[in-house]
Amino acid sequence: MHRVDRWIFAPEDARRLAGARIGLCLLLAYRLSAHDYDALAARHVRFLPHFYMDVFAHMPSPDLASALQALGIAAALAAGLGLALRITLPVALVCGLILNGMLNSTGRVMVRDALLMLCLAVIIAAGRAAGDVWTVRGPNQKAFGERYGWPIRSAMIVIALAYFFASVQKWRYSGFDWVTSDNLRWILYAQPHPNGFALFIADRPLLAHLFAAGALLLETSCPLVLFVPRLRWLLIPAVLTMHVAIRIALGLDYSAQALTVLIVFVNWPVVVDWTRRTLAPTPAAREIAR
Amino acid sequence: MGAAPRYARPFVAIFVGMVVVCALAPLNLWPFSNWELFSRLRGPVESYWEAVVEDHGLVVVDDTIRPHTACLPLLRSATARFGPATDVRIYHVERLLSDRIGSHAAPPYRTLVATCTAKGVRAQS
Repeated sequence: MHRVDRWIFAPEDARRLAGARIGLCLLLAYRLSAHDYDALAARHVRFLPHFYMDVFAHMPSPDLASALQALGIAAALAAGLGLALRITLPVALVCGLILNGMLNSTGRVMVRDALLMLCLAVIIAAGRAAGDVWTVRGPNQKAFGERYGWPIRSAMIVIALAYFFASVQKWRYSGFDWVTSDNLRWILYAQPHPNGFALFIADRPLLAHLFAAGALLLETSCPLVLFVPRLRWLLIPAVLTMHVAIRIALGLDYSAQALTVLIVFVNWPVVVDWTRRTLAPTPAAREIAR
Repeated sequence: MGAAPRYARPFVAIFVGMVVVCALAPLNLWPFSNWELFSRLRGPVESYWEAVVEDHGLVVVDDTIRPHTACLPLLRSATARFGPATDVRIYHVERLLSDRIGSHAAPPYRTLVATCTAKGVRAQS
């Protein structure tokens, strides 16, 4: 336990937390702008409130949906810029929760943006630390400390657990049959209009078994990214590839989840420093000698 | 200056604990999901229920519903939008997944199960 505590609360560069804040806020703003919530509110005759949506007696009105969407996008963009974080971040999260709650109250609860919301909640819990650097208002001094590390590492744990538990549920309800049966083929065939890629896999049982085995192995081994940092170079691209393949084969949009993984696991200060070094003109040898 | 706030450790414990409990219970307290993504085995037959609302002979609502969805909320929503004379028909739909016409799925078999009306539920014999 002591080692786990030391790992979670190890010091970190403030820019890494700020990078996660900017990335997650921009992603939330994009996700909120990608749906037509007022049309959903106007169209859906059924309202099957899920969890916290019980506070609403009926589906929020189109006007309320539009207002929440505009407010959520504005708050997320402001939070990305580092403005009034103690207000903008929670407002963006609450708007996101209600608007996603509307989608989840139409009869089917989708995982979709769950990981993004959980990671944003962690950024909110980080408090002022999330806005110490890379803001439009504050001085961009360098900072390093425990207060910048634990939110990033907590988000990493949540992401690793999400994939791990996705595999646990497959082992729990289906066992090894998830790989050895025709399960994946039926999933691919079950779409109303499967595309060529989906049918290419579904028509070849051996290929379908290989894809199923790869997905289950990847999800099960995801917690390793926490303990073996080098494995991130293998497992994170593999996770992103899996989401792209799911998108092409099944048409399911897990882009929010994939981008959340990318935003949290990329070491942004290293990327920025490397980019600066690469783009900045190197002084010639003569100038150095002078 | 650089130390973690005092609430950080309890927060991490509770937050990660919620993720674990919701997955293992399982409880779908979104965004604390149970992560049951395609976890149950699919068979060769797809079976589901549909609520269909017609307005002047045209299908205006065709939604997939849960097997034991109550008639009343469906009817209430439909009448609120299309007027008091609206009926909601519940169909059981079955589709053999390997049944295909080229790259398209063959049409499913639909069986009318019940009709939700203002006078009550009319089950089909």
